[in-house]
Amino acid sequence: MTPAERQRRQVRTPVLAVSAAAWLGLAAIGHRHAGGHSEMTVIDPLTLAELALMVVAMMGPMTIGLLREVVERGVPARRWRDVANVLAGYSAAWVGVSVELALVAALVRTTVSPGVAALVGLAAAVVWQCTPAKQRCLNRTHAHRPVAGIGWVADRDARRLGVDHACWCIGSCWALMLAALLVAPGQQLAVMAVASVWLWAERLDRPTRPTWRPRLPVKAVRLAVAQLQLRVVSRSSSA
Amino acid sequence: MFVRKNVWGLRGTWPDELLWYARGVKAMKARPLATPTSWRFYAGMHGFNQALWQQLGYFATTDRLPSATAVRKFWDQCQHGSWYFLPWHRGYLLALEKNVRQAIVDAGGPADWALPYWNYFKSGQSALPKAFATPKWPDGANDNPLFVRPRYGPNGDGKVVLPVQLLDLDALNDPDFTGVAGGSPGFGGLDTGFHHGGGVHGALETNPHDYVHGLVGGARNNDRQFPGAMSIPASAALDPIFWLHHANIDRLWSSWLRPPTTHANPTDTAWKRGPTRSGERKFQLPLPDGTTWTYSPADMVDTATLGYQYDDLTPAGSSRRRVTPGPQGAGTVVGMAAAGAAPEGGAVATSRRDVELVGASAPSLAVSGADASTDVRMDPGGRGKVMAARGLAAAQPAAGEPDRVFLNLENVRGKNDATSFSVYVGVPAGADVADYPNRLAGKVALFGVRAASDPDGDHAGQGLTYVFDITRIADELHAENGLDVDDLPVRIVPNHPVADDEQLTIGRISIFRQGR
Repeated sequence: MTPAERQRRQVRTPVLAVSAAAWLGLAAIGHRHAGGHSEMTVIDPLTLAELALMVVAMMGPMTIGLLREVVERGVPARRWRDVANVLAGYSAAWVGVSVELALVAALVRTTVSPGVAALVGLAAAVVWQCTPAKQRCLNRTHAHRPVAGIGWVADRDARRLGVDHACWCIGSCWALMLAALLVAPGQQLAVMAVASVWLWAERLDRPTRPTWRPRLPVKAVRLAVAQLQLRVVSRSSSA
Repeated sequence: MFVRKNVWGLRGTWPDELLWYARGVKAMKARPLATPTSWRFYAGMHGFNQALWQQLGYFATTDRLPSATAVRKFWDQCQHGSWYFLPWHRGYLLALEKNVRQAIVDAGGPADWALPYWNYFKSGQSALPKAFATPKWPDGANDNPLFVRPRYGPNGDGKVVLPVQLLDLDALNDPDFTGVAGGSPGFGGLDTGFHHGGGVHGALETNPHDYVHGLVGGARNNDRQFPGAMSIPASAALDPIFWLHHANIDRLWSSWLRPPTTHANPTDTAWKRGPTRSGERKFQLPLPDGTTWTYSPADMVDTATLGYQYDDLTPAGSSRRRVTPGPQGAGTVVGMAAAGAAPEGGAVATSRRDVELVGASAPSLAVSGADASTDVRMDPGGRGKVMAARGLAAAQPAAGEPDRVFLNLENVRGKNDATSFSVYVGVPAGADVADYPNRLAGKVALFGVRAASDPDGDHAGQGLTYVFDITRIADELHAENGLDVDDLPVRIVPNHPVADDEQLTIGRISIFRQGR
């Protein structure tokens, strides 16, 4: 295993574990909704917790590349502190925007029927997906500002790095998040899961020129096919 | 078995090998751009930029570009800043050689023609081979295809004599092919996916590869608006000297593997299978029979299997870091010293994988004019470990290197690929670097920086990152009690003054230790 692969796993595994735990939490809350409790119309502490879980579950995997750089290029003694500062900046930005998206979704749902609300969300997501602005934001999620690394300014820089990365993530992903919030509560978990897979898949593609065009996460499909072929070949040769 | 020979070892200005090369190049240049076996199509596989090609005179409005399918399949394929750099270029050379050879055979030439290499390290061989420096054929015809007008040399005046003091073979001392982020970049580079540019260049790619590109191409009168073809990755392969330069780089890969060293290529599946393993593009090149050759790094490990060899694998250069077999005997090189110099004893470059940051500058240093400087703030804990390791190395030199110390220039961004500069560590503020030659950490050639700085490019504008082994400098500073400081000065000294509009910046300068 190369040093780079070892580092990837050291960051990827705990992040995916935390994200998985957040999904379980969301599933439990989903059952709460299915049990007949009223859907969210105000932001109460429980709703805030639900939004925070949604951010951790869906956006957690989007932080893997960023955290790997922070770990690779930081002082070992400060590692956990740097990671905490980055995640604090990232989460604060995302939870703040999630509250606003949730309020917009609640407003839309009080204005139109659930079916129309879901269509509005889907339409907004599809249109945004094709825009140059979306691609520009997605490109910027692959780049990270340098941080001081040493001393008190390292705390400030790490938080700023987290906020920066969140802003580009939000620019890229907000429409899909809104679409997930506009479907009926009983369907939200499933839609969020699909949206998460899509978001992860499109992050695998390399940056490209921002233009008006439909964007499909081609590399994720090729990766899946390549891995499947490897396993088939490996099984055939060991048989 | 085809034999690639030293171009300067061939007889006369126009030996047969170069005469036939020129004829083969001429035939390939005559084919339309969209033809997969044309000269320019092959150059496009290394990189393509229409505006640049137009400026250099290699693209006309009447040219028809290849189909979108062909462009997606073949173009912008070259691997840089990656452990795929060496195997991809080996395949690229092989395929181009086959195409030139076929054109030579079609013209009645020898079927055993092989591409020569340019070993600029050998004494008296740092000048451009003469057949490339004249627009005339031996019969006086004025269209020598080996001559390229946008080839400006180190001083921008068209004279190409490489200043060999800027080149070195330190890369051959690296025991590991694969590098590690922050620490040694490895002989061959870091573990990446499909990697067209940007990032950290491996040791051999950094020097001499990048340097020779910039020194040969240069810029007209040092004006970056007019770069030479070799200076920019998107146009480098248009210049016929590109292939002789890369043949030398390929040869040095074989030199690195040569016994008595125990150097080895990676055995990781991810390297051997290439980037298709993770769903990325294949390495594919057009052959003269019209077929497409698909290959992976595993196919590129042995030149004998590929049907060729070099007439001489002696690197014939100088190395600042000379090593001899140590107690472990692993990962060491002999014979790398300049001719006539005895190798130093004791210091052994051994493979280490633990890398940690011990110091970093404030973010974003702008470089313009004659020089720029900053301080690297040292972390007390990390500094202590480095000092302890240097103390141990000084007390027990025969025990081998406990640690290595690396200077990283992270996220270097700019607009001029032909710019180059030297980096000094530990020179006091206001002092003349000429008085501190031993504090030279390394030299940087910004080959590929412009494309790497594009925020919508392949690597999101992260620029290039350079890594230098400064273990020796750390030893000297430690001996002078100059290592136990809060701030270590770093000076950037360009070879030519940097204009403001080059927007040359360094994201962060950092120091890493690699060891236990």
